[in-house]
Amino acid sequence: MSAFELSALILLGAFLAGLLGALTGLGGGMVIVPLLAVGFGVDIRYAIGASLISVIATSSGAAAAYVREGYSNIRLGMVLEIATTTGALVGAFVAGLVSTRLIAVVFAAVLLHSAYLSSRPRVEHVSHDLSDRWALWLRLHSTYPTAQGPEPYGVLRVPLGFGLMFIAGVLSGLLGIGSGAVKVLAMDHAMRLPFKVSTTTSNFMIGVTAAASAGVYLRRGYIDPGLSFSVMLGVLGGALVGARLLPVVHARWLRILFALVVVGLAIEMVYKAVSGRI
Amino acid sequence: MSPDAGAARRDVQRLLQLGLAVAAGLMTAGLGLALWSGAPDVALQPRGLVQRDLPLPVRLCGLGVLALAATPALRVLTLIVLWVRERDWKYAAVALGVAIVLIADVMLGGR
Amino acid sequence: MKQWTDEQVEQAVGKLLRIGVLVAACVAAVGGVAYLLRHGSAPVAYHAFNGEPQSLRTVRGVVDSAFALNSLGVIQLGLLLLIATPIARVALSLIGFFRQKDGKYVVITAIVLAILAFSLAGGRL
Repeated sequence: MSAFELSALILLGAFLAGLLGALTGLGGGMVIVPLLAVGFGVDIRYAIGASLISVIATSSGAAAAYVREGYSNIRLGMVLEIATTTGALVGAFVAGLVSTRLIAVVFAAVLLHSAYLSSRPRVEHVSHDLSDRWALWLRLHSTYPTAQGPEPYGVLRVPLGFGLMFIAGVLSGLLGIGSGAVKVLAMDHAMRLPFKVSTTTSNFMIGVTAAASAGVYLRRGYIDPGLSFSVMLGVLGGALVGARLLPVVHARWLRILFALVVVGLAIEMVYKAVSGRI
Repeated sequence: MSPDAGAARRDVQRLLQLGLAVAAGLMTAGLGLALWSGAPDVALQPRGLVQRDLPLPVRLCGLGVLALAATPALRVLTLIVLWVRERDWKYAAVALGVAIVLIADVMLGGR
Repeated sequence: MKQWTDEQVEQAVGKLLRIGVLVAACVAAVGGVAYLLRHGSAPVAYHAFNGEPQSLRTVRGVVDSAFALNSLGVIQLGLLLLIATPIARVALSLIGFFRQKDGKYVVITAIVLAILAFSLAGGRL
C-alpha cells in the first residue's frame, strides 16, 4: 500500500473512532490501537505511540471546553497527576521490556473490562460535608454549580484514589489509552466525587498523563510522524464533529454499538496475540 | 441486592485492588532493578509471553503485566458466579458467551 | 503584583489548551501534506518495527530537521508542540499557585513538572 492510500484510510478510520468516542463519551483512543494493529497490521508499538498523540489532542480540546464551565477541580487534578504521571513513566518503560503479544493480551482485557463498565449505570454518592484527613490538609473539598446554586462536596479515601490513579497511569503508558474509565472509577467510587467533577477533572488529567508517556515513546523512537499525523487529525476532526452532533443524536444505541465493536476488537486481539501475529 | 451479595461484591472489590497492587509492585520492582543494574537493551524484547531465559528485571516486568491482565479477567469470572447466584441471567449469559469465545480463541490460535 | 484567583488561572488554562491544539494541528497538517506530496506514492510498511531515526527522537533533533524543511521533521514538530501543550498547562498552574503564595501546591505542581521534564529529556531508560 502506498503512503497516500494508507494515510487516507487511517484518516477515515480515526475520524470514525473520534466521532464515536465523542458521541458515546467513552473516548476514541481505546479503539485506535486495535484499529491500527488489527485492522492495518501496524506494529503495536507504533500504534500505541500514534494513539497517545491522539489522546493528548482530544483531551486538550475537550478540557478547554470544560474548564470554562468551572466543574473541574484543578487542585485535586494536580495532586492526582503526581500518581498518574509516575504510573505513566512506569508503564511506558515497561512497554519496552515485555513482548508485544503480552501487551495485546492486556489491551484485550482492558477493552473487555471497559465494555462491561460502560454497560453498568454509574452510581453517584456525593459526600457533602465529609472529607478525610488528606483532603482537609490539601484543601481538596470544593463546590460545583447546580440548579440550586453552588453545592459543596467533600473528598474521601484520598490514598486509595491515589493508588488507583497510579494504576490508571500505568495502563495509559503501557497501552497508549487515556484510561478515563479507571480514573472515573477511582473518583466516583473511592473518592466519592460528583459525576460532573470526576468526569471533567479526569479529562483534564488525561492530557498530562499521556504527555508523560509520550515523552518516553518519542525518545524510544515509537512515534512515527507519517502514521501519527493522520491519526491525530482524524481523531480531532471526529471529536469536533461529534461534539456538534451530540445534542441531536441518541447515545443509547451508539453506546451498545460501541460496546459491541470493543468486544469484537478484544476477541480479535486475543486471537492474533495467541497465534503470534501481533 | 441481599446483604450477602453486597459483602460478596466487596470481596470482589478487594480482590481487584489486591491484584492491581501486586501488578504495580512487580513492575516497579522490575523497573527499579533494571535502573540499578543498567537498562536492558530494548532490542532484546521477548517474543513469548513470559520466558525463563531472560534477565530478572525483564521477567518481573513481564509477570507484573501478566498480573495486570489477569485482574480484570478474574473479576469478570467472579462476576459471572455472582450474577448466576443473583439470577441476573442477562448479564451472566452475555459474560459467559464472551468467555466461551475467548477460550475458543486461545485454543484455535494456540495451535 | 495582582493576585490570581483559581477562576482566572482556569480561564487562562482553557485558552492555552485551545491555542496549543490548534497550532499543533496546523503544523502537523502542513507537514503531512508536504510529506504526502513528496512521498505519497512510495510504499510503506509499519508491520515491522524499526524505530525512528535519531533525528526524530529528541527535541533538538526534531527542531533541527523541521527547520531544514524535512517534511517528517515538520510533522514531528507539530506532535512535539501537542505534547508540550499539557506541559505548558502545568507550568501555568505553577505560576498561578506561586502568585497565590500557596506553598503546598507550588511543591506539588513542581513535582508534576519535574516528572514531565524527566520523561522528555532525561534518563538512560
